[in-house]
Amino acid sequence: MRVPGKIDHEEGLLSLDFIIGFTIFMVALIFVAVMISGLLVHLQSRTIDYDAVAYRTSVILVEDPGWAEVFNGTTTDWELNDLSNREERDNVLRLGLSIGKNYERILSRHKIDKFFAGEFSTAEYREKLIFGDYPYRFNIALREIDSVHTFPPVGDEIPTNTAYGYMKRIVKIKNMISGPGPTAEVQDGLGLTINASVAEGNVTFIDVDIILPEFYDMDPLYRIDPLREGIQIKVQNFSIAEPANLTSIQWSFTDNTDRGASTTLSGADYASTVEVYVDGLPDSPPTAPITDNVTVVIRPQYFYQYDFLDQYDRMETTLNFDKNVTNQTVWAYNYTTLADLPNLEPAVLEVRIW
Amino acid sequence: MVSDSGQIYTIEGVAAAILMIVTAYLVVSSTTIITQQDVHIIDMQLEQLGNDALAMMDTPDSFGNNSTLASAIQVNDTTVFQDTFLDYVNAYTVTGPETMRYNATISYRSSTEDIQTFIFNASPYYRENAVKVSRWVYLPYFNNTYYPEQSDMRSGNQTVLLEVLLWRQ
Repeated sequence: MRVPGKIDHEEGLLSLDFIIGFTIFMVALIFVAVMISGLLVHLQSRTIDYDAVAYRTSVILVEDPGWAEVFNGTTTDWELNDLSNREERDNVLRLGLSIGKNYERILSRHKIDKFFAGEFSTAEYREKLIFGDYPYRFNIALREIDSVHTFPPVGDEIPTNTAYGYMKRIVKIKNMISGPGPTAEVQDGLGLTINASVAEGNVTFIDVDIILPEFYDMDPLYRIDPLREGIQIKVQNFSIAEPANLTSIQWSFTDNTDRGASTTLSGADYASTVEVYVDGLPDSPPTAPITDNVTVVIRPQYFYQYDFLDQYDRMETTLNFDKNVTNQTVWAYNYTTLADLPNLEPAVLEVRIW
Repeated sequence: MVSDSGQIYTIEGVAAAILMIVTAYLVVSSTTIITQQDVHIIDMQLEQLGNDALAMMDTPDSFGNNSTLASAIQVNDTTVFQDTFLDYVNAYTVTGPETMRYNATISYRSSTEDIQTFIFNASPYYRENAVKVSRWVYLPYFNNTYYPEQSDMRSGNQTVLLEVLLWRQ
């Protein structure tokens, strides 16, 4: 006979109260355990979001003007560096193609030329454009919509059976009219064209006056910028009967605080940033007699040596000849005398990352 | 038969269950759960493309001129709008061209100070997955004779809202 309240250690029975309590506890424990493990599944991600990286890369290309270090600070004109030189490539910190910080989707022709010239290595593109530790593979291509000209794509071939992140942007390209820019080939039709009049001439020099504030008055989308594009001056209408020689070129600038510089271009300049074409053939420094025309090109890297030269200053380029060439004392280099700026050209940019 | 014995384990079990569930609830309600929104990336790409295309159409190609978009809306030229817009959104670099379609509507403030909307140019829309992009377009010296069906459009400088529904065919 059992005595109530006394636990019987020999019969191996659990009380009903214990069973019920234990059951309730186990049901609640299992419910909580299943719920918590379901929450943690979503927090672990094994895939990289390539679309996000492609979008970010496209934003840097299309909306950012880039960033580079120069000797006296930093600048967005990274395209003025000589990219065949390893040190100058290292100065470029970020690659962006826009003309300026507030002008998204308007790309600079010079930056595009430099970007697609293939002078950066794959690792450098990753370091200066894509960022991050993962070695992304990429393919960036730009094509003009109207002329259907495609710039040679940068990066690897597009994979056919791997998924990739993708972004397409529509942009407009601003072309240059003042000069050929830092490295592009010299083209006819850029810059200022002057007709010499040897017969009626009474001075032996051609003096070209460039007032930079006049250029900077214009909206940046439609601006001609001699400081970044360079200067090109073509003097034509010479004749084979009366050939002339270009003896020297003087260049000077003054700013509104009367600081300035004035130099005669020397051999060192002709070897690096100044080019002269006599009758269409390169001749720097100029030695041959001119029988038809002469073109003088000053690349924008030349202006970089002058710390104080900026858009508020005035530049003067004087071409000295050995006989009379004109009766006009000063030639203006401004929006009226230069050719019309070409229209903005629409283009499409595609970025693929995998 | 109610007695006061044999209930201690049940009460303990119930108390432990309540404690666990309340704790789990507090933990869950205070964390934010990050979910991957894969389906929305396609929408974002389309939306960015549409915005880019409208912004570039609304940029004048040379100084002092009207943009292509403003000129097309000013003279009700739906052909120029269609050709330019589709050229831009269907453009490609290396792979083949895409087929995008769109519906464009314009909303304006009428001469009686109401907001009216009309369809500018549209393709049949069979409820594909679409995004809507919009742009305010400034129309200088607008002349309402180009829109005979919208008789209450005002003349003169005004800004209209252009909304474009864009989808991949």
